[in-house]
Amino acid sequence: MNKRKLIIIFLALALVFCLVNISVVCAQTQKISVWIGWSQLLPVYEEAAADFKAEMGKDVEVLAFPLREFERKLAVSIPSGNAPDVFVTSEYIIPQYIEAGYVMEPPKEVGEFIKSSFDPITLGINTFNGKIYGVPQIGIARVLYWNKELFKEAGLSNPPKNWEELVGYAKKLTVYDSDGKVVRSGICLRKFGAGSGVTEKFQILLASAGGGILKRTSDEKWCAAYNDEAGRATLKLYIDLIHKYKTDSFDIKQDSEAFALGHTAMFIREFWPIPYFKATAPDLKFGTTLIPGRKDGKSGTVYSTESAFVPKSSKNAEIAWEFIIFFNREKYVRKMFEDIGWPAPRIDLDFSDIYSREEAYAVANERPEGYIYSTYPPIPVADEIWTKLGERLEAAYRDASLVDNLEGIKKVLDEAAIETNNILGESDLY
Amino acid sequence: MFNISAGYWLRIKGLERKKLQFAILVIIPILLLFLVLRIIPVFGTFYLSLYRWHLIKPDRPFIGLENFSRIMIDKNFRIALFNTTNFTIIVVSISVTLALLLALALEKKTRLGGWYEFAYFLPVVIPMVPVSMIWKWMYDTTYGIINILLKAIGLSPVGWLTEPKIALYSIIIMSIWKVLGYYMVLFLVGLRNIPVEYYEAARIDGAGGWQLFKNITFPLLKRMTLYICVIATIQNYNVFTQVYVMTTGSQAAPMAAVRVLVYEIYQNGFRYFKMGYASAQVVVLFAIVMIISLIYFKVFKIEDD
Amino acid sequence: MKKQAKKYLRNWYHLPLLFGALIMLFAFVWMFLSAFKTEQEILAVPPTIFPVKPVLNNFVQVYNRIPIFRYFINSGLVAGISTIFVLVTSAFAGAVFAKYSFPFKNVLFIIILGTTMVPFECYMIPFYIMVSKAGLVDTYTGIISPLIISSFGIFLMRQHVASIPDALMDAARIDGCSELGVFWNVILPLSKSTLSALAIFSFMFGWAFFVWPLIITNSADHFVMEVGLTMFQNQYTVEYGPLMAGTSLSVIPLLLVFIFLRRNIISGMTISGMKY
Repeated sequence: MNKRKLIIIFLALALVFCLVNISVVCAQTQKISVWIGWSQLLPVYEEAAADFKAEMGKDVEVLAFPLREFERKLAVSIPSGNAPDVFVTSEYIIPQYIEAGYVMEPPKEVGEFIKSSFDPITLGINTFNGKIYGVPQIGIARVLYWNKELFKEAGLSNPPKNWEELVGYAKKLTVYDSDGKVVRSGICLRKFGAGSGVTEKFQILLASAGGGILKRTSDEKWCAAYNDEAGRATLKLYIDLIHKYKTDSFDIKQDSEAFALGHTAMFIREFWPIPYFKATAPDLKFGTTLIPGRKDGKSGTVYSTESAFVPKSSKNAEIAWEFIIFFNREKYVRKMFEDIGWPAPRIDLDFSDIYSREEAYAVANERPEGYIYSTYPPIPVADEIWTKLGERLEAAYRDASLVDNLEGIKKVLDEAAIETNNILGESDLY
Repeated sequence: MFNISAGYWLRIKGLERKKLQFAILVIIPILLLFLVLRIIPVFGTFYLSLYRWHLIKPDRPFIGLENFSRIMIDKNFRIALFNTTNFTIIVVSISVTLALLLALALEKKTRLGGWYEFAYFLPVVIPMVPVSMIWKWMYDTTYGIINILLKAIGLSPVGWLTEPKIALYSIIIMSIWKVLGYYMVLFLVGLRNIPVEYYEAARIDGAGGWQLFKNITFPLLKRMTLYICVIATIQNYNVFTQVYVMTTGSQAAPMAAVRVLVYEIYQNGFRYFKMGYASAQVVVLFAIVMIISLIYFKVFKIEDD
Repeated sequence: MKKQAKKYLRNWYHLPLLFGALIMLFAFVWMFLSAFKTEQEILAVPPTIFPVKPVLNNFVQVYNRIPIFRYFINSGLVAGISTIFVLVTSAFAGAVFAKYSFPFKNVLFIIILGTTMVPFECYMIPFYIMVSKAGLVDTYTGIISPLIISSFGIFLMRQHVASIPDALMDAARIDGCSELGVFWNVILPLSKSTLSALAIFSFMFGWAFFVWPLIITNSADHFVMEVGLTMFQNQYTVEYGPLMAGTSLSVIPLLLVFIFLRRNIISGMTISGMKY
């Protein structure tokens, strides 16, 4: 190995390097980039991009990233001017970008499309300072799943309509083994894993009791609201279902996997499990229903949306908005809804054929009277509050000493509320 | 210590000067690379610890050491520190010891030895994310393969990831599994760089297995052992990916039980957007690891260091 | 009789060794076999080890849904080029730190080692801002930039070169070698095994590098394999079949590098610097 050989190798490498980088520069045709945080939506967007190219002759590149990494990527790319032309994110992530001045307002026609195509609740949570910045793509209200066959076995023909029935049915549906351990849970509650998800599921049942995690005390200020009577009742519900009546267990499979295998008779989730069940458990007979309220007639759930935004830094804004309108065409919206399980909260489209093919979707766009739609508040510390509350709830769910222990339950929630209010206070929001 | 006055430069001749020239010529470009790619960003982070910064919003007020005083009273940080230290001590001590034993056993160049090396190195090669997923799966309380095997031999299943007291140890076991081959290869390199004549001479003098190890192998392996201990400590204090994968989602471990430092930093910086606070935590992490490494260097005092 | 006993004693470690190897292999074997199972079988309960009816569907899916060749090439470029840089910088710097003196040597070494005590994720943001200002976002240079130097590499080479006898270097000098010649003719040949180990580790690290490429690349052309495989990890569910298939494929180059370079690691050393 002599010096000459080394120099040749080095030059060869340098050449390869330059060629590769040059090819990058040459490939900068006029194309718009779209970023989404959900890879299961990619096929629909890619189809829309292909059709867009065929119809309008413009190139679109859609990239999907895992959600948490996506949020990180947005956080560094947008402020540094490396933003895409379109990005899709939720109504609780966008406020800080809007506040910092990075998000473009939609042109007039788009604005009108938005106002006439979506239901008032969706529009409401996507309005910031009186303006709407993005075009909602999906709106998901969490629902209760129930296994029709297991219900029939237990002599039940309808899903529970209120908490009393929820507890009673769960008791009937749970199956134990010879040691008294739960083999099939009557209901599978979200008891652990990734903090904010735990709080979100708690928030669902809390909403069905008429409560909420935070409440606004004035224009700019918030405070913890979950340590009220509704909150205590919700935590009591969890403790009763897990420890008092033993209708749920930490030791068996959880969530959608459990439901698919028939290891639980009820669980609460968004709509994506529906195609998941079609693929992994096609024989499963299940239904979805609105969350049973604490008392008949009043209930609620958690609702969140994802919308498409265009950053101010985009150099192809016109095409970007064109593409957004394009993929809000009925064809793609239906695909997202039926094939992937992400309902679009459109009031100008008729989805009844989708509902007839898959009954479980029918509740997706129902907005009954008196049903509360609890959301994430548009404040930057929401994630921190939700995550830290989630950790406390995780610990509380494991605590069997809270059975019939109203004092203990009150203490857990009050202490958590102190932490929440402190977090709010640190950011001047209390 | 080192006299670099102009007079010195003129006075040193020939070999000394050539050596110094070479050294400086090599070090300067590499140092520049380090400056740009490591020192500046790292110090940028250290600098950020004195501010409050939301990451997306541009305003950045100076708050001095306030972040650090908050770290002192942060319960989560203390838990993370405890867990991470616990984790590191166990992983480093067990994996380094096992790796040394492995390397000694595999040192003879047998055919079978080659296959063993391959098998033990395989976990190192698979990226951490799929490995964490596979293990999360194997650890499943009811249907993970580990509990199924336990049931098959009559023992009761264990809540590997769901039981708060055990979760951290489950991740420790998996981490040892992943990293063992890495240290083993390094020890093998170290062992094989010991000139064979030393052993021959000692054998002629009648030395047996243990004496050979005590007087030749172990001392000559010190440099490599120091290296492995230092990098093992650094890498394990920075544990993140496997904890992240195993605690997300609904089938996962409870958070507080496996809270580690880098996860704390990640949460504070990227989820709560408290970049300044997260940067302060980085400073503390750095200080701890630096102190431990310096202790290692003292303990493994090698003559020409 | 005694001889037999001695033989067994000397080989007592074979059993635990074998057992350990099986544990090491297990996860990999399962991952590999799962690549041939249907999604339903992977999630089936109780789990199976060997696929009941092996299918190639997962590999087909991987091929159809992500431009796997492109991603392979990208990963190869990133891993390969960074490894070359790491080998060159670590060899030179390690040798100099081990065998030469210059001002501030110890302080500099501590700084070099110190910067590695902070995980990359922690200073990724200032790094990104720097790369962005340099206009290197979404370029290969940008992706590779954090990987071209390695404190671990310098540290490793330093530890190794320190054990090379000075006499060998002086002998070369007497023969008329320049310092570069000493480096080339004495230090490098004696460092083959360490450099090979470093090459393996560097390549592996560059291949598995995931968070930075994800953040810095904005076009699909530049995705590396690990980023491409995230396509199969959805927020709520994981498509295990294609993921296992993709990962199995992704691991192959790493194994090849290991097998190829292992030859350099297994030979031993003599005092005169000759290999045997």
